[in-house]
Amino acid sequence: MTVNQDQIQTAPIQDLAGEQQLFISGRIWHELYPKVDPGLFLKVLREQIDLRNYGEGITKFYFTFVVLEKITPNFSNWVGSDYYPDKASVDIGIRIPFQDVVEADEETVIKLMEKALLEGIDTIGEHDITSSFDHEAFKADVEVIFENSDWYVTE
Amino acid sequence: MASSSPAKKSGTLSRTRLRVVSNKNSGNAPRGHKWIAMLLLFALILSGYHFLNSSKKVAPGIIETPDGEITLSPERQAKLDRELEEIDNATQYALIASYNGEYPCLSCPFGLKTIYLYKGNVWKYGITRKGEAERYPGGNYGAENLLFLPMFYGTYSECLKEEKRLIYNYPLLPEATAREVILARPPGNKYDS
Repeated sequence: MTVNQDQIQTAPIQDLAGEQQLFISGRIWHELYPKVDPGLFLKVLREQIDLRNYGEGITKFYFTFVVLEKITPNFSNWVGSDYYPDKASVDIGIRIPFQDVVEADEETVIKLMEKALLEGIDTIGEHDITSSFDHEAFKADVEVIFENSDWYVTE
Repeated sequence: MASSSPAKKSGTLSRTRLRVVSNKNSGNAPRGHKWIAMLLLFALILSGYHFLNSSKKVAPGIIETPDGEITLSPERQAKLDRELEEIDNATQYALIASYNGEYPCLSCPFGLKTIYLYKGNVWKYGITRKGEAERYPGGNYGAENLLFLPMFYGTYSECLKEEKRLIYNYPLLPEATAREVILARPPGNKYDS
């Protein structure tokens, strides 16, 4: 991996985000990265999922894997599901048991992350947007991606 | 001194006059009333002070118990405890690139606005005392496609020191020295803290 001066560009910052719909992130104890790698999910889901297929209720899907040994009351809002109607966005944080990740191999970690993401999509049903967003169809399409055991192997 | 002259001339008369005044009690009556009035006034002042003291107006968040003790309301005490806990309970974190791509650069020289980061490269070091979502509403950490990696838990002071060490030593990281332009701070750290 080489890094050259051409890494530094002058492109407008707003072009970077573009019209992206899916934002898969993580709050992960640093020693568990990249064992827990949300980037794998981000790349594949962005390539294969278009939120417009499920309605207009959600145009931005923020999902966060939370893999921390402890979450103090200060940071309790890292886990949960919030819907912002004015922005048509949903912000979901799902916790994966820390010790399970520590003890698991990489393949098992992927399975734990898949489960967490699907669980997160389920939380959309708790918000009053079922008429404007078909979260079950969204979930079904994501499940189809996960059915391929090598879905995250892109290179 | 003029009054002493007659007394020296007729001391008996002087003493008699004094006795007369005393025996008539006509002089004692006003003096007794004065004392009573003074006592009443004193009692009035004391009771007034007590009355004023017991009916003090208190600011919101402060309460007076039935025993007259001034104390914090439960809500204000809880706010204090929460704020103290936030100071004692902070997190130092790194924001790293979740995949290869262009990211905003706040520390780049020569007016350069963006930088290409490889997956896993540091974009920023920071600290937080509150729920991180409060600092980054909508899941936006200041740039897209970043991961939040807690690195150290401790008091706010401890986290601040840790953050400074990481920011100042960033130019020594392999990912930083590999660039032709070596940044003084991570791309997302506009300042040293």
